Amino acid sequence: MSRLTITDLHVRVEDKEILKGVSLTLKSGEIHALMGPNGNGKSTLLAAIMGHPRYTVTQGDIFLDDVSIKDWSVDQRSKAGLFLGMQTPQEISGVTNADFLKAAINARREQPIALFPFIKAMEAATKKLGMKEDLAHRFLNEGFSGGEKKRNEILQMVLLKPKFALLDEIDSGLDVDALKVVSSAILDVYKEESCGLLIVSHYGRFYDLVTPTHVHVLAEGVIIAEGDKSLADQIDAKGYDLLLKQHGVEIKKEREKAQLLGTCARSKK
Amino acid sequence: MSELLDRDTQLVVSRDGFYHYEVQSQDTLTLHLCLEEGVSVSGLLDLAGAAGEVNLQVALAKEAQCSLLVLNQSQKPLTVFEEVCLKKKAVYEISYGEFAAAKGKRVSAYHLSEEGAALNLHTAILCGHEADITQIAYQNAPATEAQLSTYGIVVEEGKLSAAITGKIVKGASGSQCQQKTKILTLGDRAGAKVIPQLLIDENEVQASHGLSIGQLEEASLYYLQSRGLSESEALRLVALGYLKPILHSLKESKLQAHLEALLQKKVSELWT
Repeated sequence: MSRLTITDLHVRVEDKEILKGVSLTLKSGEIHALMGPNGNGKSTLLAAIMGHPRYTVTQGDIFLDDVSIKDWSVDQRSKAGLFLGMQTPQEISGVTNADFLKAAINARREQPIALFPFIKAMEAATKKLGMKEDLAHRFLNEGFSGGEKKRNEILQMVLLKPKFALLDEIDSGLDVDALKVVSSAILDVYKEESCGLLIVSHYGRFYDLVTPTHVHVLAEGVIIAEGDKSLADQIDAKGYDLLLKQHGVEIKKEREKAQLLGTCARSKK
Repeated sequence: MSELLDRDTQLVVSRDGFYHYEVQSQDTLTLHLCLEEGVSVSGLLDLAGAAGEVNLQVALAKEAQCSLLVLNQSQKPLTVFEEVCLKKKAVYEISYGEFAAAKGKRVSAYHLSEEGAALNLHTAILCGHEADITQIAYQNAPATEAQLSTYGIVVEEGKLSAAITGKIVKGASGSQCQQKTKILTLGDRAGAKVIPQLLIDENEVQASHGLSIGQLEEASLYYLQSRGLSESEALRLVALGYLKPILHSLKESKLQAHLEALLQKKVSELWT
């Protein structure tokens, strides 16, 4: 049984404080849904857990099995069992999916994986995600459709077998059929590895397929409500307004900065 | 087994085969290579022991074929002049592995002087110093084909300057010229300047060029690291990805294996 614990997490991006004290605990075998209006810190929380260099933890801590990982590098966190399925996966030209995945698998093994088991695992995962057979030889996410990129994220999750998977809007860009395929692959890993899932999604349909055991609502950088799947259903039916009013939360809209026109005049010193 | 080249040499090749030469010269050395009609050869030219100036004068007679890998791992400043003349339906496949440890210059001129002559030029550069490369394909006859691919990584204080030109003269109808150049600069002090040119004086041709020069984005590095790769492992993977296309240009499997091992070694030395 593993445990990912976030305590009083405050996170800044450049000069702006995005998270203002978030606490939650995710255990193996649990599925947590992280919901909330756009721009209120859900992706920031996931990126901060993964150790994105642009996100600075100013207060609080992140523990994996009671060991602080706040100061660990991104790759250390990954090797320790964290996986972030990204909202916008990067396209990396020149690096094939096969070379990348082999390197990623080998990064967490003492002995490099032999070619045959790797090919077998890659082929099985490709089939499971309903992707084309040439995937292994294509460059990482280059020229992929939005849906292909999301499938490829989950294919990586299948092969890397994380302890905790953080999935950031992994359902966006997927059609109804693809959503079922991806959900099924996520649930297979969840069952086989008994991993914990922290899922950000705006769609009730996804939570019907991957049913959360816990639901958290994040607004204005704090968790304002928690519950079970019925909370996600309520939000899906009625939206966030009522919930925000009940908890006295007012979403501050950032004033758009006035666009300054440039000048070609030379300034006098 | 390789043969040592330490003085000006003229080779007239009349039989198919594989040739391996190592250049040992600190001054100026000229190699004349003439392939007779219909001859097909492949080979490796190793410039690790070369410094100063190396001149390659290559002539391919009608329907001759030459597939050559030139490895430049010179430890001292080196200038290479390459002049190639291709007769009717001659095919010249030349792959340059540019891994010099000192500043260098190369000027390559390819004259596709008769109908159906073809050039396949592939260059892989790992540049940590000053490197100046000029590659020109003169397509002077109908139905000639030139492919010029250049893939490079510029690191540390490396400065790469490359001018890549395809020139199709009037009357060279049905000719094709494709240029592809991809350069990645890693580090604040690394720089690259590439000038791709297509000079075309004939209507009935197919010509294209694609060029990209850029740095590895922070987001790309983060993505690779988020799957467990250290920064060094990520950079090695990206660098190999840029350089590996040259392997596909080599037909000889032993040359492929040799170059692949060398690429791995060079990249591992940079990012341990």
